[in-house]
Amino acid sequence: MKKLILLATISGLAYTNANAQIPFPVNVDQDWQSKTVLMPKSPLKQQVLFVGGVDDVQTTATYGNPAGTAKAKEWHDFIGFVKDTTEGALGWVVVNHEEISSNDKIGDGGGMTSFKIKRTKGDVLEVMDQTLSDGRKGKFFNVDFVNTVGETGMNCGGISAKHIGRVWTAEEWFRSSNSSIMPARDTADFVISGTDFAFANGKSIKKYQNYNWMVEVDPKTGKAIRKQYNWGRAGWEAGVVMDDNKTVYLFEDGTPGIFVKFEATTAGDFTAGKTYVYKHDGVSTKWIEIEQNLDTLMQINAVACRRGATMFNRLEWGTVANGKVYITETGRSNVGTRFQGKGGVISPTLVEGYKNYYQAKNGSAYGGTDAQAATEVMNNNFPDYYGRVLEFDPATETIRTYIHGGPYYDPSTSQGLPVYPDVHLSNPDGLATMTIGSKDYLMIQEDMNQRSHNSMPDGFAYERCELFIVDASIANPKYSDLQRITASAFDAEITGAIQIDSKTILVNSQHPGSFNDSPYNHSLTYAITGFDGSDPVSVVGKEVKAETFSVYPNPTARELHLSKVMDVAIYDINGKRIKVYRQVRTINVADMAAGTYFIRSGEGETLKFIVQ
Amino acid sequence: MKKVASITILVLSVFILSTAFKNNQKGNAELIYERQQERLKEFLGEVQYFGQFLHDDNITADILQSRFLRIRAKYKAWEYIASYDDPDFVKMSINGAPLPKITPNTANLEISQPRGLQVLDELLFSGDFEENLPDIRKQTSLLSKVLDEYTVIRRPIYDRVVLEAMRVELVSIFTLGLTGFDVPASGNSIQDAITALETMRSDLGLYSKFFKGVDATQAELMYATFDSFIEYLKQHDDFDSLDRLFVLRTYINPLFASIYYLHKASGIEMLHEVVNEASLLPYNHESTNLFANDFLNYRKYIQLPERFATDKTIALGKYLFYDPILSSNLQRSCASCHHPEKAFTDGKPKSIALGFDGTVDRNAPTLINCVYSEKFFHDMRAEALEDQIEHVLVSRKEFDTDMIKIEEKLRKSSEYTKMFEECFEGYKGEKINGKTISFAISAYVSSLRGFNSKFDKYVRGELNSIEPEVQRGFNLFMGKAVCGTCHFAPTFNGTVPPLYRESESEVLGVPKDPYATTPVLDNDRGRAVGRSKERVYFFEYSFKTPTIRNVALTAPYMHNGAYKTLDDVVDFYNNGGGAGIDIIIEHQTLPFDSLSLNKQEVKDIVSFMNALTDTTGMTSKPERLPVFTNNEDWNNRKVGGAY
Repeated sequence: MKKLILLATISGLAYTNANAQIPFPVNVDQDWQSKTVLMPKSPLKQQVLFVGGVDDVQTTATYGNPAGTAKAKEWHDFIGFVKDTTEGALGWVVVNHEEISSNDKIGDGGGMTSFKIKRTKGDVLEVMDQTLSDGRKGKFFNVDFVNTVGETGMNCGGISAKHIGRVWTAEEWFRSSNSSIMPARDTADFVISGTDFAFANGKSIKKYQNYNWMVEVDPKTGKAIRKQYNWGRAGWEAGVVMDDNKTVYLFEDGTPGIFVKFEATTAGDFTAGKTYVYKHDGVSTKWIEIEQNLDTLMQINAVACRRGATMFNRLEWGTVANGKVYITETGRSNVGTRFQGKGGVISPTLVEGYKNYYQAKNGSAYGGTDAQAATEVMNNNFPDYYGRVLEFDPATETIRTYIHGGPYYDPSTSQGLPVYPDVHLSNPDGLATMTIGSKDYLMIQEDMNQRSHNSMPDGFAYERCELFIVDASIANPKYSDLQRITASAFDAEITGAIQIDSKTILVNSQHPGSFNDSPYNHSLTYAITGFDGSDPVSVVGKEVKAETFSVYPNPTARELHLSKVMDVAIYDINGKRIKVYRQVRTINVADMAAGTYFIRSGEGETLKFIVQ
Repeated sequence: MKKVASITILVLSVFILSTAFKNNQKGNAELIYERQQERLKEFLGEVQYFGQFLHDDNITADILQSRFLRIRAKYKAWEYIASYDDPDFVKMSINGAPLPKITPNTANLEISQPRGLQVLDELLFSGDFEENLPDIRKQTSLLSKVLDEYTVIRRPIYDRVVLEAMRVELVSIFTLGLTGFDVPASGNSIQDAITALETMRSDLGLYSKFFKGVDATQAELMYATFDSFIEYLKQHDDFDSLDRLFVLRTYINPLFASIYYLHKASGIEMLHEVVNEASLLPYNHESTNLFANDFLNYRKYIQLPERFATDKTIALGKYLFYDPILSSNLQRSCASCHHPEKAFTDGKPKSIALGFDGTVDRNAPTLINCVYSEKFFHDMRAEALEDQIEHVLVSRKEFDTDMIKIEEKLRKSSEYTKMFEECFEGYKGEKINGKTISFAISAYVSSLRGFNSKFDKYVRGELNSIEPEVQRGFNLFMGKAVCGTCHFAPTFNGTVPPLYRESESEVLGVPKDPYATTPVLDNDRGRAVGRSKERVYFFEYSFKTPTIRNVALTAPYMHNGAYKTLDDVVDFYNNGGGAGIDIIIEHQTLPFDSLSLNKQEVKDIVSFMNALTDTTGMTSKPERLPVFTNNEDWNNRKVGGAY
């Protein structure tokens, strides 16, 4: 045993002199007496609940067609949850469909699907048979927009205000003409009537102008309630309702994207109040009021920018943790001239992003002022490849970067090269809070904008998005504070994560590559169960020991954590090399079949590990 | 003063010594990493220098052209690793085709205007120089900006990457470089190839000792082949007369194979040990010949999961393919329009529609090797073979049915039920369903593939000779006649090398009837009426580039079957496509001008195409069809359908 290692070490060294890259023999003697590590089956169970294009939804009478059944739409994005303990249930789940398609039964545009779940034996979730107040019977129900408030399109994010049991859906895809809502069939002018908004009632607008409002829906009846004409029409991605049940923050996916606040006059009544837009450099106040006038509200972005609002680069989802609001700013590399001539001011978070980029590019800190950095951003000199997560503090009304996306560099490696694949957070998009006990964690979900520019560890590989959690009490988290919980199917976006209770979260895998195995070749909603009220990071067991070569089993994500950045190879039971990893600190073995494997360091030390 | 100088010298020599010492410790990949950083800087520097010239009032086209070729040389030195490492970036911003594209990953339909070296090549070497100058300035500053921004991107280079990138570059040199694809106007392709080869030869030189330790004979052969390849190109630098077939057999394929052997024998890890199986490319990094049957991994083009991709599933798919049970009138099968003896076409301009009610809209394409495609149908509206099938089922002119009805019918046959159960053991849910039906058919259709024509065998060295006209024809096809810049080797369809991930369509200006006195444009708008997200002007009259393999069996030609013979088709191209017969489409993607091919050359190209026939093992039909015990009258179905 000792001899074998020695030999390998010598040949390794000899090679190192000629070539610094550590070689790993293709085959090795499998008779190793090495320390064994068990990789138990994950305590987290994954269960598919709702598959787009496969499961049937119950529809209402629409476009002259009778109520009936149709295959569910796909492109699952946001998930809303409303607690409902009747019949032993957990509550109602409602899923956004981010598409714009023609559908005789469900209705044109995007849409939502609602269903009720309960927990059964062995923590298995069950979609319950239900009869709705309109007589529809089944498991999955189409949320009726056509016959209530008018169609929606590309339903992306939303608001799931769990503390008040209310849900809104959003449409980031800002429409600018009737032809742009094709293939929706109804393009007749839309007359707003009978709403809670006096300023809107009786007004006739173009059909496309009735898209892109936040819409409140009722999952229990499978119906839309109202378009929130008082919050403004924009490329909304998502929002949050604060604990006071009065304050709503809204985030716009656009370049420029704006950050909006609504304050209700009366708690719980969101039909009356004031709408503001954020201006971080405002002198007396940081909020510019937008009057409750339909024409103004219909072009709130343009009005806000003209009045000097703060301009962001694609705001996505938000969540509240420890009383602060966290928002993803997903980034866009081809900003072009999108900020120019709008009148707004560049967000301080983009200034921080530019400085970060500058330092990575030039090896030294940016020497100019913030105003100069903002000008660089405005002049299209900041390729915002990877985005970031923002933190807004309602107490001070300041916004800052919480964590930068991007594998720019890692000082711990030679040449400052990025470490793959663990140090890698690109284009954060979905965002939600997981609360365990009194502690808040952020669930950050990626949606890659591109494969190029180091966004993916394997340049030409398919996009693979990941869901990370981070302890929100860490003021300035590093990449090493992020823990991966799940990765999507290839080419899919991972989105919609929402906590149901102390045991379970629900997640969507959206628009996967068609080559994925069934049912992962469809958009789907799945549950991850097994957190069991414990600290999700320690469920993952992420301790680091100061040994030269050791691995830490990670039952949750089935990761091997190495004690330092290094090269390693994995061998199967027959001693055949099956994987080689270079410059890694974490190896994801979730895809490996159960069995015995060996892991070997560059120095020839080996450990045996068993995937159960 | 003297003191200062000597101190400087001392400092300098310590610096040099330490650098040298340090270099000694560095591995080859690290040295190549540094070279690559330097190459990017030089490339950027050359673009910036070029940019300065553009503001000189006395600038002439000649000076700029020669400076531009220096940019190309710097690019070609940087290309092989860069385009393997970050192919999307290189294609998008540096060296993509000079055509507008639909921007990926945007909610709205956005068009990306072409940019990069190929655009500059056209602006500098064709059209009016004075008129183009503003665009030349704009393109140059764009290029300089993206390259400058790219200096922030750092990514480790490993030995594996170097060796794999070289093999992919050999594919690029042969399929894109030497065909003139990426130098549409300057024609600088041979010099480009020499630069790329010299760069790789220099990097490979670092491994000389190492490879000699692995396999001295093989290593020496590889280095010698590299050197003689470069020398050969220097001696034969005329684009039109370059013997590409000789280059392919003598240099490209032997190098492609020997780098692989040395890589493998050295024990340096390979791509499949680094990425997940799902992340592997259609380009098979373990193949050893550009014309080998395994050069492309067909499985990467279909959805069928590997565990169901068995001979049994292929056999089941074959039954379904020939079974008219799929159509509403029980008289038509896939084979009604795809006859095996005609390489799965039917000899008609457009196939007969269901119920003899006229014809379908377009010509039936060959199915052999059709799997090597990103998208399906002439208008590229289906994303996978499995999706394509459903379009045929629901078409009123074809099967006029739907998947639910087919499922119901098939479930009535215990023979079919048994086969589905065997083929899809472990599949969750009903064994006969839309998905498994599509899987079975795609298993069969994707089995209809092979590169075993006379020409393939000659390229692989399995045949020692081939007719001179075939040789001449191939050289014309890949050179002077520029056919190979759209019909890419070795599939000779529109699937783009070197990674073969996406398929292209072209705007040719095909007439409704080429034999009419005044031909008029065929009114089929093609891709512009296919997918809703592709409804843009540059896809008007755009059609998928079909393979020319088996073209001897697949007359008549084009999406509308308007051309009766291959000679007529080549004539059409020779005269500039639609533009040559007064059909003017501004966004025609085929060169407007004549190819200047003489009669013999046209004949030679046709001879080459005729040498690409191979239907070996693909033409047999099932002897009988599965039985329906409770539906006696269904059992009279004819294999392949009644018509």
